[in-house]
Amino acid sequence: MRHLITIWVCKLVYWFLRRTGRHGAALPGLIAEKMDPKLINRLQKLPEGLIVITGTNGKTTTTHLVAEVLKKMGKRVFTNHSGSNMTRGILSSIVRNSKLNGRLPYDVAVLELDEAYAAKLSPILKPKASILTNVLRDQLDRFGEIDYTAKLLMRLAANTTDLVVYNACDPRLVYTPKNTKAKTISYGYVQNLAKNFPVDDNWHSEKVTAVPQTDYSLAAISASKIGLLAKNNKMVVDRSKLPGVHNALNLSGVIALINELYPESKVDFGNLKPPYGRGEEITVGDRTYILQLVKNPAGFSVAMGVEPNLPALIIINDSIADSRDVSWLWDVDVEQLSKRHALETSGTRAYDMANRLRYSDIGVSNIDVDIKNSIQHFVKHYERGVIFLTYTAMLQTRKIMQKLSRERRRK
Amino acid sequence: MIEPIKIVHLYPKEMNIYGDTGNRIVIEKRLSWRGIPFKSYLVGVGQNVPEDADFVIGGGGQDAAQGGIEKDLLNKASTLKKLADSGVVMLMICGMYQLFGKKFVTNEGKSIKGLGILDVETIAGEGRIIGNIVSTVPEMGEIVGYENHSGRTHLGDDAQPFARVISGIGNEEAGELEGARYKNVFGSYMHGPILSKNPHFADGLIKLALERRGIEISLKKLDDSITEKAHQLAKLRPR
Repeated sequence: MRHLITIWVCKLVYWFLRRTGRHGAALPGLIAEKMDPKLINRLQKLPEGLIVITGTNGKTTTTHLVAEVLKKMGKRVFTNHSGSNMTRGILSSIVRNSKLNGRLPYDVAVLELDEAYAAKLSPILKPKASILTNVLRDQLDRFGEIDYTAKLLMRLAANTTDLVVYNACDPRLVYTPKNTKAKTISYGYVQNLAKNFPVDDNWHSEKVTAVPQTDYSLAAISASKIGLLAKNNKMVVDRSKLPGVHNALNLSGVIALINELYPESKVDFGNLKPPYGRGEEITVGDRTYILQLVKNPAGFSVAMGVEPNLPALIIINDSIADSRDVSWLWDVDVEQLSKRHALETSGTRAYDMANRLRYSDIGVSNIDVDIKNSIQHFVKHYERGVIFLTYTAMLQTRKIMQKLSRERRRK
Repeated sequence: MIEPIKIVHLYPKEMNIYGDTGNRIVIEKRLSWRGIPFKSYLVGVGQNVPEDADFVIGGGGQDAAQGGIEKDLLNKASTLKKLADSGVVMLMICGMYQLFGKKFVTNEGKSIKGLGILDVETIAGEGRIIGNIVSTVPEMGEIVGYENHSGRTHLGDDAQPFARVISGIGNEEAGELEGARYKNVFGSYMHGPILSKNPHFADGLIKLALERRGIEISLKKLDDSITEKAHQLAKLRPR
């Protein structure tokens, strides 16, 4: 009954907000949290349960891909979109999507949770399955240390009931399986691909870490396909719309999860597209740009390989959601960028990025803290390009580019 | 012909998660842009510190990594102390700053013995001190950076502070001091990395190193316009 009252009250608040011209998701979420924090339990009670994805890099893409595959399989999927991966966002989404009789009309839920929330909520959520993507240096200004982040992931593993899928090539996840009663399945890559996936432990050394054997092992990567050893069965999967080696690995984790949860499924993993900002293509008139989110040294260094010769605009903001600290730019292997035809920088820390490039003798042709000006300049000068950006820069950039695109169409 | 300036980077693998490797990049580039030859040595666990080093730098790492190098650092103690006493330029940030002090007491109450080159003691405190920081150093001017540490560092009677805090916390909540200095050994909590946006400080260190070697050379002026702009904008960012 409590659930029902909460749902009605929040729906009423929604209705009221909409009537008065506001679209806030925060207030109903806040009310739901105060009235009935256990409302979130409804997700694990869905017929096929709840899948939680966490880790430093790749969680948004992995969540999106799992949800897309499940939809392809004909399931009704409840999922959260990036940016709302905190309790209130999820609660408000539950309330909004519940029927008036309190029923949540979905078969399965797929949630992206950041590391701290995954640890905090997992004893309540008791997910059926989870994917742990990796533990890399990120948001140190929030979590303090990487080893601490690894401990957060262990707590999620411990509270998962049926299946834990984890990237065993991450040195901080090697020990995951020990503390959980769920079945554990590892994914990763074969030794000769290890050089493509830098980890923090060998950041400043020539050494490539020896990787363990995994249940699902990425064995070959090309621009359009991946080769995967799935428990020793060879699989070839089209991934032409998922640029970058990091996405090849994300896709491997997704295949591992789906194959283990639904062994009878014959779903086709080809043709999947990334979620927005993660290799997403945006067009302005007849011009095409790839948006690539960057937020830590490993992620940025890997993402740089996307269309390695095209001009690039790098937008670095330093809001809380981006990381206030920009020291991490100095651990990025920026030398790879020297192959690009042109480089420009923008965002609140445009000059920090240009300064980083300066110290690698890489010139920048335009520096402007104003994102709108920078994008107009970039679109005017280059027909195609890659835009590397931090989180809040991505939100701003998408809006600006969509507006530019609409203006072009009107002309 | 000048003998190459020897730059020693201590524990580049173990103490590397806050971007402080950038300090080495900055020193190397500012030397190379001026045609001054240099040679860099990455010195990890089990490796020796060259006894004719001109620069020794070290950065921040995780608390666990700090415990891991404790023993090895004590093996290097006599060489490093000799170098420090003879005026070698050293820049130790965060974790390595703490280990250059007398001791570091962790959150779990474990005491890690330091080199004692700097007369400071650090005790891990409640909550981390995190955010943008601006400080000022006599004769060098303003320094911008970013601090992220759980340790509270208290200066002993023989220690000189490195800088005075303008905004941010620095060594500890009490007082407004940042870092410590002994001869040409500088300890600081400032990441950023510290030399990346403070070219005057980077050149100050280079001058000290050249003077110590008896090399008389006036440093060629570099075009620091991008770097200066990054410095100015960093000062305006919220904590």
